[in-house]
Amino acid sequence: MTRTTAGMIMVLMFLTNASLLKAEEPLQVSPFPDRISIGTFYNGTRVSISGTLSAESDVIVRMTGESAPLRMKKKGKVFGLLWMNRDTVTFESVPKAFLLYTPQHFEDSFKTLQKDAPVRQLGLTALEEKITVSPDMGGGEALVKELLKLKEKEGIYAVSDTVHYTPLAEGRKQFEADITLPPKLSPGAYKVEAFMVQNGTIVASYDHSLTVALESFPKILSMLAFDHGAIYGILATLIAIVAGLITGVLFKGGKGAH
Amino acid sequence: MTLPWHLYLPIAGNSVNILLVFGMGGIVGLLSGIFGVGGGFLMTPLLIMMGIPPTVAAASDSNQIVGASTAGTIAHFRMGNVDIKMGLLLLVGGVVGGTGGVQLIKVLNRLGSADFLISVTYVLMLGFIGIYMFQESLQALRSRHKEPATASSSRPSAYARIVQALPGQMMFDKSGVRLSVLMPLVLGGFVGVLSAIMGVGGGFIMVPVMVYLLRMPMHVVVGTSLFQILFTCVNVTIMQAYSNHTVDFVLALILLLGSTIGAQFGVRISKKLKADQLKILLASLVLVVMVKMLVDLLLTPSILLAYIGGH
Repeated sequence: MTRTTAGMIMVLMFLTNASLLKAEEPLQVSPFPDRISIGTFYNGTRVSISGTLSAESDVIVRMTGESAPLRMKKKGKVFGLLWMNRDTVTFESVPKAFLLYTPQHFEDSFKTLQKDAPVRQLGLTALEEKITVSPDMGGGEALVKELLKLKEKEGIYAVSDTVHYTPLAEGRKQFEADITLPPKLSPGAYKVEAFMVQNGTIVASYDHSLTVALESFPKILSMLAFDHGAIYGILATLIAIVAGLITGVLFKGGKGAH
Repeated sequence: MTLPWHLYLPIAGNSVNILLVFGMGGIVGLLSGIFGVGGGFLMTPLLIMMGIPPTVAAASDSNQIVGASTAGTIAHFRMGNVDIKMGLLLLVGGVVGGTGGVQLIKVLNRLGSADFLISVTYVLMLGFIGIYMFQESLQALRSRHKEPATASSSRPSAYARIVQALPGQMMFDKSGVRLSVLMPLVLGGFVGVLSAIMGVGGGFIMVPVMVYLLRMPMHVVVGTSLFQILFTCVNVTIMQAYSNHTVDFVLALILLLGSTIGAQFGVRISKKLKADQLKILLASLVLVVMVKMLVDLLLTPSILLAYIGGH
């Protein structure tokens, strides 16, 4: 056997092994975008995630933002009558977003699992336990529940059972889910993950970085407003004056609202 | 829905329906044209109800008023209805008051009380104006067949005596009044503070102030008020943009277009309708907005947490 033939056999063996490995990969996820732009007409968007996994398993898809402390005001009564913002509280480890997608009826099997089962650590209940409140004035758990309620109302935190399956040959199935990005999503770094789950255990996982960034007009406007406040203010008034003059001329200097 | 009717507002950090904002500007402008009053005091609460953070709603409304009062000021100036001396003094007071108001909002933002202050100021002002207008138009309807009310007595009131005793008396030829320089300065400052807090031009406060406290004739009041409001709002807009980054000029521009067009139709409609009955309707509308805001302050909020600084 010549050295060339031996080399070719080696390459062939490597390629065969590589293709076998790929076929056996328990969770395969189709290419997912790296970047989402918030442009002029952005009103939230949907990004589809899909892939294949073994037929006996389930998949959970999760999108989370960076965790950071969040300072907020606790509402309380003034003079026992009017509700207003009172004490400042700081929540630790609050992700910028938390969107969880499960298959239908997954919640039921979730409940039968032990509290410390790894799969349970993926959900909102586990996040609720992770977030701490300072200063500790009592009632921290209730406050965290209020925080999650607020985030859910804004669409920034959500749990939905909208992962769909399509059966495939050879003991595999296809999954698909639409990740709904809300209009209130702030720019920054996010992580999209998929977990293949079997009997309460995470068998395989996938993670992908996603950047959400302002683009075009919102980017220019935001840069002007936050980095050059005075120029932005002057421009805003000048544009308003010109717009007022034009509409005034068009309508022959009618009364403006004041 | 795939039509691009939504516009993303990076300052408010949310998207809005362009038609809804334009329509809202149009309705407020229409009411403003029909009733001859400013629409700012309705615009900010409506924006808050739409999900715009209160501090952004108030600041962007100031920006909108800059445009809306430009056309009005020029028209009145051409007709000779602007008392520039009085206007400038009110303006100096307004600039100082407006700057103070912006700083106050900045401090309160840090304390998390700015939104509460805006709400309470609104409830009080809307309540006061709503009730006043309601009573006034009710009286006007009742006394339609009666003799017109006689002029006030010639004996100077306690207020008039105090005003006359103040230092720095000056003649204001255009308005035909003699007053202390301090009067327009202090009153302008007071309206400037409210302007910054509420995001309104202050016209609905300034007009009664000029009529009842500065004793100016009505035709000069409207022109001078607009002149003063224009500059006060220019100052408030620049200050809010610089200090609090809360001005969304795209939002302001859409509102402005809507309100200017609405105002033109309003003026035409007003000529065909009975003023006093419409005034009662407006007063009722003002009171409904006030009650809604008051109920929000009184009822237990659905979520017992709020963001600091209106975001």
